[in-house]
Amino acid sequence: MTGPVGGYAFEFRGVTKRFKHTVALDRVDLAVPAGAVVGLIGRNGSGKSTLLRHVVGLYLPSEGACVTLGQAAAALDAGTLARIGVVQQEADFIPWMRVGQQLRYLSSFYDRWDRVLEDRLVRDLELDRTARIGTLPPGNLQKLALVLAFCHHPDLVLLDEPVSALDPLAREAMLRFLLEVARTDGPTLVVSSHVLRDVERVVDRVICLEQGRVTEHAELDELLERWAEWKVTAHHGTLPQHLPEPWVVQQEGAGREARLLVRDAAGELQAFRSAYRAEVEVRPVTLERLFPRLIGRP
Amino acid sequence: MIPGYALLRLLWTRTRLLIVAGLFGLVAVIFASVLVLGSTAGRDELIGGLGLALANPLAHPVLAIWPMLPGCAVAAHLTSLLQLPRSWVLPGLQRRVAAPVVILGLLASLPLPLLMAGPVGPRLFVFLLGLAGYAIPFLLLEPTLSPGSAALPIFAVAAVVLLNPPVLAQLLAVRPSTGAVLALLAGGILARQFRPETARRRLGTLAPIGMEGRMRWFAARTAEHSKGARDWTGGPRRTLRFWLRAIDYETFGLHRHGAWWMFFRSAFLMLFLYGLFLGLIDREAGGVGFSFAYVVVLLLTLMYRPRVAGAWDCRPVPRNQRIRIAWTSSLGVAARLLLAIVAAAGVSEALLALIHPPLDFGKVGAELGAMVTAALVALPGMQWIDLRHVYRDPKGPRMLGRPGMRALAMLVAILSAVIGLSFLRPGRLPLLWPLPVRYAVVLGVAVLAQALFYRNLTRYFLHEDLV
Repeated sequence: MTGPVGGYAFEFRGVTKRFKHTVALDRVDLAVPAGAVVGLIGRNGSGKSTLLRHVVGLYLPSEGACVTLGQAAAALDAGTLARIGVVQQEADFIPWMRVGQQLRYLSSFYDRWDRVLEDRLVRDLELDRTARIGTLPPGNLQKLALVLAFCHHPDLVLLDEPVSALDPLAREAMLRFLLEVARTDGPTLVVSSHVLRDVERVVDRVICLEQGRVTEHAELDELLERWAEWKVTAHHGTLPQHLPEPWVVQQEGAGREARLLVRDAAGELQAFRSAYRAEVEVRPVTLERLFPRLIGRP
Repeated sequence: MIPGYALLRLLWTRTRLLIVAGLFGLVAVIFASVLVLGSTAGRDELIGGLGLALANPLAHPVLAIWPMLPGCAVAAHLTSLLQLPRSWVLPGLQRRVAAPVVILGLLASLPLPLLMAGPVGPRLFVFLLGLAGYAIPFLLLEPTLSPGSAALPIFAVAAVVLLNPPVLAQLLAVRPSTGAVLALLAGGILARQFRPETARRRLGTLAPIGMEGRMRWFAARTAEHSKGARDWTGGPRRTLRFWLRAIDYETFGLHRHGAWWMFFRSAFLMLFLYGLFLGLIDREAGGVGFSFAYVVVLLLTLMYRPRVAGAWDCRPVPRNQRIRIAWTSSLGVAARLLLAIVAAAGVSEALLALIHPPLDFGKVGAELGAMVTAALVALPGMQWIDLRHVYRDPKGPRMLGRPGMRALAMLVAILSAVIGLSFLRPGRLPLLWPLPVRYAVVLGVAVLAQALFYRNLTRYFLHEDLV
């Protein structure tokens, strides 16, 4: 078995991907450490799925190189591919099979298939083994995709919109499971999702894509520490329409009350209070609030 | 909106139009080449064969097959549209498509009566037969009816009537009554299509994806009991053989006896219907039916292509192994095709020998040789079409879409059938090389095409995006 031990799960070295005149990935340099739980966020068409397809070698870069689990992604061997679990955005199963049939069939491709885990996930996610796949609603197809992605204890799991079609209860069960897997098996998890509240609960690192470029790649804690939301109430005097401080990234309101989005401003709090004779309530920001900033939007 | 515009938009795209035009053009070129360049015997056979069928009342029921083809195309497209819940809320959709569907049926049924000579009565009868032939696919493809209530009774009645010359002769003796029944049948089937009650029942009958157009009732009961289903236990066996078995299972596991049953059932059914019915007219006509049967077997083989894309993107199969898997599975399908043809020819001849004894082994051998040669000619084209779905090259065959690919397959099938016929009847068709040279050329082209095909697969799997 090849692959990183304490190294990188996958690396992108100057990867550009063009589809005719569209640049889907633009000189992407990335190195995701093994064991990291990564949130891949970005708007529709920002290149998230394209990036994930490069990781498993389905797409080949127009320029640059992609290395996955220590091998060139374009030439992953069967053993390495079997160490990867994938949930595709649009699950493609064999429609005539029943759920149980599909699980039994696909499990024979992997040497580390865990029947106990399979039983547990099927039970927790309330999947009916006798249901025919062609008749399953989208949510149940997504559940099946999740079961198939995890039961061979992969070292790298790529989840492309894994919970978008799940109901709240199933989503909660899945998120709990992801947290548990991250703690116990310790695989590298890459979760691409628009549901940023869910991403925030699970991941320890965030990669943000916009128009094929990586606009942010940081530890989530570090990211959230750098940013904050201040609720400012001026007791004496008024706040200007546009605060001049360079670390104020966004201002909503003026006069007596305003909400500020600030960056790297922890050390400026006292001085700000004194300068404007204002009361400042510091609130942590959420990934959702931060998202427009991460993709470079005002 | 222009009445019928909705149906035309449903049926015709520019590509399809071009392909159909090309198809008819090719057939016209083949006919013209025989008439202009072919020998006297070839010309006589072509003209005589058509005249024979038109002049012989016993052959008339078989002629209903031709309007059945456009009927199948219109019914398949219409059903796929009317089955969608969305179609229910489109204002006046049913009304807009009803008249054009009927007009198309009338047009499809007209050419044969117009070609016939003689009194109006028999020609009107052939017209009504054609109309019934056009309407029957609507019943067969109707999602609210099970095969037991639609297809089986029709096939049973057809078999009893067509395989029983005295009964057929009796029905033809009372043409006005039989014609009235046929008119009522066609009218009833078409009227049923556009009744609001039928439309309501259709909603909710959407077949599970991937099982459309098949015998769902049968498939649903056999899928989980298929023979292949028992084998998927134990650890990984990532050999070529393992992956080929996996492809086979994914593609054909729906059917209890897998791929073999599919091929043989289809081939036998077509030969039984066509070869035997023509055999009722005379032995020679029944034998000629082999080229038609060959085309059908080839097309059916293409319809059940191996599954190596889609879900396969996520199988732990390296790119370099995919080349061998794709090529070998394609050869596997080809091998089945050859076997199906051989078996079909055997059954066809055996059935014909029952009607016109004795069994002519020399003729069987010649026909078999011609069909296998035709299959060798068609093989590269068939493989290429068969694996079309693995290519994403925008200039590649995927751009034609599914109907386009089927039409292309038909072209390949017809062309190869013509070449096959030239082997069967040397000198009657315009391929005038000596027989050994022709065999050598066919074999050489087949080997070269395989090498090019493999090279093409290698380029694709090593240097292209797979999704």
